[in-house]
This record gives sequence, structure tokens and C-alpha cells, in this order.
Amino acid sequence: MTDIAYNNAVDQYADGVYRFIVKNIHQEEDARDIVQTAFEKLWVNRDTVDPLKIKSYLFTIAYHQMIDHIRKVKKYTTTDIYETTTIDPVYQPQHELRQTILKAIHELNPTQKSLILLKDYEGYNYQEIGEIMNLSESQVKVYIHRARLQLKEKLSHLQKASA
Amino acid sequence: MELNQNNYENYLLLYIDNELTASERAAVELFLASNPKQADELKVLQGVKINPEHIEYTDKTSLYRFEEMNATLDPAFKKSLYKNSSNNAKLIDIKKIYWATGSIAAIALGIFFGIKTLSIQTDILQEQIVASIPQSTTKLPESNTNQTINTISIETKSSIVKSNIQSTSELSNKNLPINTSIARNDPALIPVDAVNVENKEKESIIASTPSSNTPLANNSIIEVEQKNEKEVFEEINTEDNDRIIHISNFEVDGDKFRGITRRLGAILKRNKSEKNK
Repeated sequence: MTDIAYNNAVDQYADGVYRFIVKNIHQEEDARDIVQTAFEKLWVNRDTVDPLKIKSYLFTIAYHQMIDHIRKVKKYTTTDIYETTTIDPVYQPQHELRQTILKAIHELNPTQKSLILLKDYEGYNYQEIGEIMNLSESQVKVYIHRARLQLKEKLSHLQKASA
Repeated sequence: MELNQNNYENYLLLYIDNELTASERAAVELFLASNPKQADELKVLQGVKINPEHIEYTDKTSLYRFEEMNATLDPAFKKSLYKNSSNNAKLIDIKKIYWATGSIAAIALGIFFGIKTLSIQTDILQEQIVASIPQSTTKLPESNTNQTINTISIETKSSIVKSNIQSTSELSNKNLPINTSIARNDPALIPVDAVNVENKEKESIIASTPSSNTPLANNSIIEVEQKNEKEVFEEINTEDNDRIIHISNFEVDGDKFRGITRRLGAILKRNKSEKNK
């Protein structure tokens, strides 16, 4: 890979990788560090990375960096930031449906959240998501379906509460 | 593939994830057409999906690399970067230019401070010479005393200017007893005051006074002190001096000097940003 191809990859994928990480961990500076690391690794391994799989390579590196980051954060925090909490329906107006969904996604566990983000934001298929997250295709399918049904339950609960 | 009330949910989830083939999608749509309740359920599931939002990574410049970029530059532009048109031409290394500029600046600073230190040492030497002058002046004829002490005042001027405000205020405070003692023609008091004076020039001048007790000499000393005091205040109160930078014997306008350094800085920054681009 030439530096031109690498710089094109920066233009094409830096935003997506950053969005994926920042939506997961909700910490901009840490997300920047993870993106930086992912592109550094791409640069170091530019001769061995398949030019057709640059995007998934970046997401794979970023995802694993993020998992490491979450583990480190968990060590130093008493409460789990991804601990499932119930959304208080009283303070969630109906017109803020999108915010409600995002909050509900944030309350999913890290694996489910990453699956949903890779699927909805990046449009990866189950097989590609499996490669990035080191899961089988059937595992991806089961986990995503479980996450969707969980989100559906939360939303229907909210709609009933607000009605 | 056959959809029924037991397996439809799985197909709906695959449908919203675009994981079905065209024929499977058609089968799901056919099923939903005859099952409105399941069609509503599909709408709920579609509502759970999130639409992508654009979030920009603002610091892309920190990610770019330019290792081989020069190989693909416009030939005309690339040619302009070469020092020589010969076969062994090498690209001008911007880092080398930075190093050269830096070393020139370091040498210039070194010379500046070196000269500055030398000039300070010269001043100290002048002070020592001046301190020795009054003894010799006592041997001069009375008519020449005034002129000689005036010469001393010129020589000591530069060193007195360098003394701080505190010492000058002490100097001015000390003037009164000295002058009064001289006015009373009481030579015994003069050396006592002279010992208390911190300024060396002052001390040296006063030290010479007991040997020349003539009224003319005393008057000329008072004049010297008044002149010195006047010079001190002139130098301190002049704001223009703040803008002057002394490089050896040259006086450079500080504003112009700062302007040049600012422009140099801007050029270096522009080169750096162009390099990053």
C-alpha cells in the first residue's frame, strides 16, 4: 500500500471508525486515541494488509483496542458503565424517539452495542461483523436478533408508559 | 422457505438486516401482505434500527503520512525541489533547512551574549580605571581640576546608568550630607559618608575630595554629582530605551527586530503546513 492509498483510507474510514468507537465508549479523547492506534497499525502493516479489506482491518483493530480500553476502565471504576438500567419513561417525550433508541442502545452490553453499530451504521453483513469481532456468523445473527428484540421490548414499554 | 406464525419473527429480523436473498424477501413481503399484525410488528422492528449520523474525525491531518508522496508529485514541481539538475541531484531536505536556520540563530545568540558579556567586563574595567583617576587629578593645577572632574563624570556616566533605581535613590539621599559637609569645609566628615555610599563611582569620586580641599574643587564635585543625578533620571524615564536592543555597539530598533523574527516564524510555519499538506 502506498502512502497515497493509506491517506485515501484516512479520508474514507477515519470518520466511520471514530463514530463506531465514540458511540460505543462515549469518550471522545479515548476514541481519538483508538483511531490513532488503528491507523498507526495500518501504516506499519501496510504491505501485508489486503487493499480490499482495509476498512474491516481498521474496524477490527479499533474494536479490539476498544475492548482493551473497556477492560482497563472497568478495573478502575466501581460501577459498570454498561450496566443495564431502566429508562424512566416519565422524562422521555415521544418526539425524542431517536434519543430514546440511542440511549437504549447505550444500555446494551458492549458486544451487542458493537454488533448493532456495525450493522446499522456501517452496513456490514453478519459474516463481515463476525470477522471483525472474532465471532461466528451464527453467533452474530443470534446476538443481533437478541439485541433487536431487547430494544423492541424497551421501546414498547416506553410507548405504553407514555400513552 | 415457508413462513408461519412460529418462524416469522426470525425472518422479519433478517429482513430488516438485509440478510435475505431477493426470493426470500419476496416471500416475506407476500406473507406480510396477508398478515397485517405481523406487518405492524415489522414496522416496530424497523423503528428500532438507527439511522447513521455523520460524526467527523476532525484531526485527520495527524493521521496522514507522506513517505512516498514526493514520488507522485507533479514533475515540474518536483524539478523545482531539486538542488541540481545533474544526475546526482538530491531533494532539498526541509529538515536540513530547519537545522541550518536553528544553528545560525544559535550562533547569532551566542555572539550577541558573548559581546554583551565582554562589554559588561569592559565597563567594570572602566570603573576600576575611573577609581584610580581622582588620585592623579589631585596633582593637577587648580585651573585644570574642573575640566578633569568633568571628564570623570563622562566616564562614569555609563556605569551609573546601569545602577538600579534603589541605588540611585540612595545616592541622591546621600548627596545632602556630603554637600553640607563640603559646604562647612569639614573634611573629617566626608570619608565617613563616602564609606556608606554603595555606588563605586560615587565612592571613588568622594575618596578624591579630601586631598583637594580647595573651594573650587568642592564646587566642581557638587556639579559632578548634580550632573550624574540628572543623567540617571533621564535614562530611567526615557521609554524609547525599552525598544532599543543593544548588540555590541549597535543600537537596533526592538520593534523592527521583533517584526523580522515574527515574519521568519510565519515563513517557517507556512513551510511546515505545506509539508503536512
